[in-house]
Amino acid sequence: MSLCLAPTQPLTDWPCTVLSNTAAGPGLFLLTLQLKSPVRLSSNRPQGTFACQPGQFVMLAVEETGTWFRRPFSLLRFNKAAQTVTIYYKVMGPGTQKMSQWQPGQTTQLLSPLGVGFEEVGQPALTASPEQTLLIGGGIGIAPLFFQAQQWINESQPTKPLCLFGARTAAELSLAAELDPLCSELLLATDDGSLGQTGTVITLLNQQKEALQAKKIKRTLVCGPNPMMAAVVRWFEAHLPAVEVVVSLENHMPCGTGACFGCVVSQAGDLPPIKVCQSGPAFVARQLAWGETGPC
Amino acid sequence: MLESNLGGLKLASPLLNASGCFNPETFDRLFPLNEALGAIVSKTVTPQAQPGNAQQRTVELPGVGMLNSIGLQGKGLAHFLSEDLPAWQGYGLPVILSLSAPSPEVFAEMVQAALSSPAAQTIGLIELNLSCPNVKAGGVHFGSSPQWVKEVVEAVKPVCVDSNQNPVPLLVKLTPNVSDIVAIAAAALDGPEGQNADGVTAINTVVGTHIDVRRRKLSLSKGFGGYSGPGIKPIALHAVVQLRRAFPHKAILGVGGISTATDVLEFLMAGASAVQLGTACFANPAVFCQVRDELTAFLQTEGLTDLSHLIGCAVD
Repeated sequence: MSLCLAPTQPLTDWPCTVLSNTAAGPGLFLLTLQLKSPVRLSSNRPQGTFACQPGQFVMLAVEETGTWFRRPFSLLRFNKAAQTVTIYYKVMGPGTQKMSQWQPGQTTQLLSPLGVGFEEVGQPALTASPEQTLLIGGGIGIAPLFFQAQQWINESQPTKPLCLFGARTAAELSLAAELDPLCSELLLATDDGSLGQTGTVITLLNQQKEALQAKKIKRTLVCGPNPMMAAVVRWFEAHLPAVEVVVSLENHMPCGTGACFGCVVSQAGDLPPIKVCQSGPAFVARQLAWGETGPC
Repeated sequence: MLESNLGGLKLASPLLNASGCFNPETFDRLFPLNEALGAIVSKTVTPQAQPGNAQQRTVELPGVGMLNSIGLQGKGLAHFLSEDLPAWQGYGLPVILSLSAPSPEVFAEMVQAALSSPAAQTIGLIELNLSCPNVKAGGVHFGSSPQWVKEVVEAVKPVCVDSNQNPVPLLVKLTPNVSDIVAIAAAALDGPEGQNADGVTAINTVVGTHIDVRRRKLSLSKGFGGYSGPGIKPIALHAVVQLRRAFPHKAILGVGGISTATDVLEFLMAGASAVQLGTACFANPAVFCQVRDELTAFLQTEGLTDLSHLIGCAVD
């Protein structure tokens, strides 16, 4: 695995151009951006190279000027040779609605990297190999897990992870074909049974319980809708409490830079709320306070 | 070229961040802060740690700004003085310490603690956030009453001195949510020498609310919040004009919806010696560098060597 990143990692606002913005399911899009040379803000700082680790995020401008907040996204892919990044997003509100109208040639800005990566949270993760790590994605939450699986391939890791990927319908699992070769096994579930197991990732977990024990799974990376993550956290507490559950949260973030305290989430115990953009977005689940439908 | 003087504090740039809108640690990864900013304004520090309000804390108002009701979440004064302030010394900028307290006495105690702390020499100015409840008056904000503003300033100003007994400038941040902002400012500025503030910061956020029509509920957990961003710029600029006319020799720190060099020039020409940018850096993190370059270019085009001829020129 790659080295942990120092908190002083350079931050760069990358100008970029839309190469493609294609539909990938109901309300789902794959946005590929060409990174351009950043405007040098200071001659006293080295020119940044693009470095965003799995679990970290970028803040994407949805309008070139004006006061729209930037939108936080995990990366799905980074092509170092071509200097392109791909974001997998769902139209959720006016910002992503605007993005869905983007045509090739549209220019925007992308602030990166922000937050901490999967490897920086929890127990020393270096002890969990890819085959001892379980990826659990729900809907667009698959993006950072896809990126992680690809990163392990890029690092020539000798093993691959098992991955559980759930969504409402088959149309929302369009990335499964590309994800499959990155995993030792990819198990799918849909609410309506249109692809894979009928049910949810919890159905898959129930089926895989013994297999997970046999594989000596130490760690699971989870990203998806809050109710799904809450259900996964409860499942591991009940069935495999020794597994370290790491969740990647998708809170609204006005600034993404640790300034505004708008994205905070409650911590377990008597600790104050914690900033998702700066201390996360990846957290060990036990660090957070959980309700029925997600982190409080 | 962009030097300014804010109530006695010399600034290399008139561009400051607005309190609570800027994380120096993150922005220092983007550019050396002292190449664009004149000072770092702290998030408002409270006497003790406080958890802030429940979610939802912010609402985006696309095109015009945002609402926030964060609730001054923070780790308290002791933590700020022992952890943040020493770390910020490395940025090579004066720190403007924004403070909130429940009483004039606690305000004064906080200032004394701050100015006698190990990193006190980093503190260049004190900014009082009076949009906090006066506990003795049933929780109504200090900033809404001339009498309470006067009481706070009279308590704080005498202790605004550094370890060499040199004065540390004191600014009062004014709320626009009053019927007569000049009367509030007068309470802060018109006292006898040694008991009055050196200037004002204008303006704090404008109170506002938002309804989530799908949930049929008020969006913010507290029910209302502070409106910031370009939509409040005319309100803030008007306040600065009024304050400049009423107090031509006092420092004015302009804030409210500033996001371009033209906005900065408007505030300077209205009478502000320096300005704060807040919501703008959420959409455009490079805004400080861009505005600095545009201001410099403006001065060169106009054949000016400094900002002094611009400050207040549209009003005086």
